[in-house]
Amino acid sequence: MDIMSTFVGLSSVLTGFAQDILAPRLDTTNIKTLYLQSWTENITQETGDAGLVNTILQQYAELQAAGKSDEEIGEQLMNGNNSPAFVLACQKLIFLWYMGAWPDVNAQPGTETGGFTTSSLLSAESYTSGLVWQVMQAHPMGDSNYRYGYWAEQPPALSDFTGN
Amino acid sequence: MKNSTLLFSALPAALLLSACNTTATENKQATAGQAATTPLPVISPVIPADAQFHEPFSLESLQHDFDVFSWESFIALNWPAASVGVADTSVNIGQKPGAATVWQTYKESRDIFLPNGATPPPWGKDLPPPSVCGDQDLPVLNQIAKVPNNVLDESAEPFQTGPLVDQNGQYTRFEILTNDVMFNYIAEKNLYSKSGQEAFATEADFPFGTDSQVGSIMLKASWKVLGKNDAPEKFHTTKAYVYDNPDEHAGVKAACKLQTVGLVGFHIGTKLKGNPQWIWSTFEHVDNAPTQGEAINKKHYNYYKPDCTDCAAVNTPPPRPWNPGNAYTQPTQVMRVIPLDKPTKELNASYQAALEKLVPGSVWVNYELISTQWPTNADSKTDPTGAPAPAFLANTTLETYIQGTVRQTSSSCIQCHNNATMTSGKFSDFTYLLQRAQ
Amino acid sequence: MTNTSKYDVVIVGSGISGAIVAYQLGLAGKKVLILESGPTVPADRSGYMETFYKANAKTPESPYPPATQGAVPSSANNPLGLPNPAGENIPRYTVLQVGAWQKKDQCYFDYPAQVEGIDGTSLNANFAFASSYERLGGGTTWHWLGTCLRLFPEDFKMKTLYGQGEDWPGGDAFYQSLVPFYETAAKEIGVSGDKDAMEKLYRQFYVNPEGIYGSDYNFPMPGIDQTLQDELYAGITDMTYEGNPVYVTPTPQGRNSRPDERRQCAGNTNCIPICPIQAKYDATVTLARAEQTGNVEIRYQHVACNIRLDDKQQVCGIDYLTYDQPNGIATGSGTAVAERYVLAAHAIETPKLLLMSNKNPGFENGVANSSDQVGRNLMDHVMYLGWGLAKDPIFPYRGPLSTSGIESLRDGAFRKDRSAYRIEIGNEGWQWAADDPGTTLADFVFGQNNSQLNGNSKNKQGEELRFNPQLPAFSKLFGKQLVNTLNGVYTRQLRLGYLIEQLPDPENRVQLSTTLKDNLGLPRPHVTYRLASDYERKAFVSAKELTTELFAKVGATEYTKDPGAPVFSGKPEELTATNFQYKDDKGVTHNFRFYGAGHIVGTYRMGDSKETSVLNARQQSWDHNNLYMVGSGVFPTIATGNPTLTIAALAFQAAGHILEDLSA
Repeated sequence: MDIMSTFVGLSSVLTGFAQDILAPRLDTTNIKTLYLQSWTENITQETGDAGLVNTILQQYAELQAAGKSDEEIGEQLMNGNNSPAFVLACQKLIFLWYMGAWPDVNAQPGTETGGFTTSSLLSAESYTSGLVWQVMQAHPMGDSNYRYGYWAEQPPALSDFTGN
Repeated sequence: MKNSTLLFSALPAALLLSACNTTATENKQATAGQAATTPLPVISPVIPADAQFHEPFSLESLQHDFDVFSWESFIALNWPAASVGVADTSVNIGQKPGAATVWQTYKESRDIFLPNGATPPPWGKDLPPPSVCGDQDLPVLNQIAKVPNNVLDESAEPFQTGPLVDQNGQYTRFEILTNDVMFNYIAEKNLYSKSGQEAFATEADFPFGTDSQVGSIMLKASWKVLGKNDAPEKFHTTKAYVYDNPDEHAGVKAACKLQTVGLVGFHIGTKLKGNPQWIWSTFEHVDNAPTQGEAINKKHYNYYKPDCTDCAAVNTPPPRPWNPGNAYTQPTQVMRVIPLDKPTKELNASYQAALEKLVPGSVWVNYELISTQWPTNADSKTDPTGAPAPAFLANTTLETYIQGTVRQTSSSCIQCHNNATMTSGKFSDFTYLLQRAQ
Repeated sequence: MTNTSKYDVVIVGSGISGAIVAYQLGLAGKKVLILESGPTVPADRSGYMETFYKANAKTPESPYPPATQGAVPSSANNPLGLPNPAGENIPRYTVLQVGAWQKKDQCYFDYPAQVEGIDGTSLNANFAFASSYERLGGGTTWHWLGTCLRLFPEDFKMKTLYGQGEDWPGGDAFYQSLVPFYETAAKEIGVSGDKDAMEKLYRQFYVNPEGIYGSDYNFPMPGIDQTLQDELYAGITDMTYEGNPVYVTPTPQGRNSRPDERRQCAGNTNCIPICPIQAKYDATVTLARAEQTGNVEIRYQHVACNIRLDDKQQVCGIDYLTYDQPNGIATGSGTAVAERYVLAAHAIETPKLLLMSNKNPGFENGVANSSDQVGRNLMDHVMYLGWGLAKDPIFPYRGPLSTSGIESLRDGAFRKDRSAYRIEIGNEGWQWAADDPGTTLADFVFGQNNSQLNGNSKNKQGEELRFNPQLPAFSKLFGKQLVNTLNGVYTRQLRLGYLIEQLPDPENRVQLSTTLKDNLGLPRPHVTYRLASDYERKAFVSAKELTTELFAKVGATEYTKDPGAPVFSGKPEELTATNFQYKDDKGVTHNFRFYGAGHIVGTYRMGDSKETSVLNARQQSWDHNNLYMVGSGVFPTIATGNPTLTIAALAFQAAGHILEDLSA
């Protein structure tokens, strides 16, 4: 697999959204390219570890090649023996896909809130591409493709949004 | 996770076909008998009932196939007409300059949505022009900024963005027409009147084409009055009543003048099987406007003055009050915002060459496809617009002031028409025409 | 450069009130000049939309120029990069400045230092004003919600009925005179409304049927479809509160339920900050109609800065400055001259202009200010927010931001003791209340608990708030469990907003800053803002209590978060802006934080007497009879409905008076 297909596979495991939702075969926005680039740059800069992104991708690829299920791969990546930096990089990738924004996590363990997180949008397109609007069965605020009165009806099923 | 192993392997054709109802066929160009090095496309008076698709599928390949469909439609619709809706196959396109084309015999919106919701005359019969025009049987171009008699400001320019004024200070004129399939549906379902729409229990659902039968087609054309510095031989022209419609804007007085006008812009919306979002093709006269970021290398444009120091700002409408009856209005300085992509330019060159070869000096070599917008995921359950490609598409004569690449506000045929409804508020199947009913 | 052109009327401001007056005068053939400080109405709102999409904080002002955030590199002291108002030609107050209210390089308003030695319940504590406005063609309607309620007759006679606030001049008679203009205003805006629902409400309040609607009247368009959340509350049929029935009323709204010259509402859930498709009315619609008359000229980037009086104390010109670049130098100046003058620059900039005009003999305290009332009685609907999770999904973040409310509590005997309020039902989940969806997402991805859904939080009823009790506190989720958890939360989010009537208080006021200026050298507003009586604070206790009751009634779990005690001393960044406390009769101390409703009201009020008001009932200056003022600044009280429909009705009424005077 090439790096992009590995990245999309990893992203699918972490976000819980199907690959063909994250990266449709006919992909008119191609947001995945922006996200791979942003994730790589930011993680490398924040950790000073130029190999971390590749380590994560490689571990995913190996688990996938070994025939593990998504659930098993996710457990291994997030709750296995990986370093805190590895896990945090995966969490930041989740946040990126959901919000289209890069997070700044201020962890304060032991407090009532556990800290707080701020974030910065990558682009207008990353805002409207956020999975958070899909997981709530709605649409990005300010960018609806639905028609008058849709709000009086039940939305499409969650599985239609996630592809799973 | 489904399909993960399929992601970058060859997808089964059926999976893709669901996206746009493509049908793989042999490459028509290869069988057209043209020279192998520069195969020229076939020029035909037959309106294509569907697009023809070629594997392997990609955004680029499907865009090409839809663009070919657009050119085939444009040529067939602009073929000289023998009778209402029927091409004159005894001649070639370009051979009878100034003759009415097939689409010009279609039903104009002013003949469909009548005062008090009256029943429109049947297919093939038109209403007389407004009394101020006299009684010659010529088409009436009475729409400015796509604003019809009775409904101000059509939604394709949703922000009352303004009139388009040519280099001679004259307002550009517009008309909207439907083919027989679309008109007959409106007539049979009584959707030409408010009361008929109120009684109509469901959403509108116009007939789509089949493999052999053409489906619903709607058209929007923009015309400029030919005058000083215009070269009539470069345009498809017609004689028309240019009607200043007092219902368009406060302060406009009814007036009518028989004038020679040249075609500058042309939208085709076609409802194809498997594409409930319709297919949207748009064409322009090649001299309309230069493109931002590209060379400005023509001496004369229809809507741009080169090296101008006192012109209006680019893509800015004239100040109100707007009135097409004004003797002169400051010209609009128009530039195309989204450049044509390279494959489209190449396709245009091949069609223009074929048209020139068919009829040397043909006016039709002066028209170009801007692009075709189509749904990449027509069956999406979560996105009624079906993720259109390209995401944005504008005609500089029809969406002059909303060209750009911002979602919801920049021109996108499908995204905008997705919100079209009837006077009852029910979905009108991607046409804003029905809200004109009285 | 002096402008010698002669107009019939000069108007300052191109928002809804200025646009309506201009349109009416233009229709009557009068020559009108509008001076607008901000930029022109763009042919295409794409620029505003793109700015909105890219904005990290999607505040009401975020789409509009000048930039509200990211204007300078962010720093610890200025994390969002707010611009320095000293360098802007037309700075305005934004909600991002509320938290920065003590930072003079970020906040347009100059605030007094906090009073020393006070506690959280002190009535003389200073607060930040919590609402904002726009300075551009079309004005603040660009970011209005679209609510089109009329006020009740009772709202016009608060002093007579309840001994609180003020009566509007004439009381009942004023209401009756306004009714036809309410109809005209609804037509201009194109209000979608449900007449039967409104008549039910009016019957409850014994509104004279003739004062409701004419027998053949109906709204221009049918009511907007209700959301699934509205239906949840509509199930409440047997509840009363302090003597009033509690029921939901669909809100009349200035957005298209049917297509006309603008598009039908498509539920982009973005009325504030910006409707992408202009299904919602904004004043650029009326402004275009005004220009279409051929009699109205608008000059943008013309900042009115002084009103001149002649020796008969008549206005004889309005001076202005012009600029090309928002941060550039002034590029020109001039004086606009006409027979009559109208100020329509909203309730901060209008009093600022009057107060700046202090060079005229006899009016050293400002034009039209012999009463010393200019700038006083600044009001807003101070808002209480309550939020919760419904038992079953009600699918928020869909449809217009608000489609119904509880109007049945807007009047009653309780108004002697505490503010009345209407309750707006919000369709935006916890976006406003808790900065969602980002907060909940970060909580479940990074193991935090700012939403109270992923820790050990309890609400004030003692209920545990962890969304999934099977999960440990501070869970870090991914994959399907993340999907299902987020979906479970977001699809159940409820929000109620209480628009609490703030009484007029002469000490709540706009003055001129003596130290701070904008880039044109004009003084910035100095704003004093307090909740100086228990009247409003008691209404917060009521709102808090009723929220709990309403959520219990619909089976929802309450998540309203205690905002904590106010901080009135310390470093600027530690000071709270809108937090306060109230100690109730039982000795319980409540922590509150108030929000702004965007309703800036009262700074040049109408009244019966030239000693106590700036304008007479004709919205005409007592001091200078060729000067009129329109907009919410004329309101003697803020009343219980959102102000825009009343602003519009009053503007139509004022236009009639001006035409009468011009032909006299």
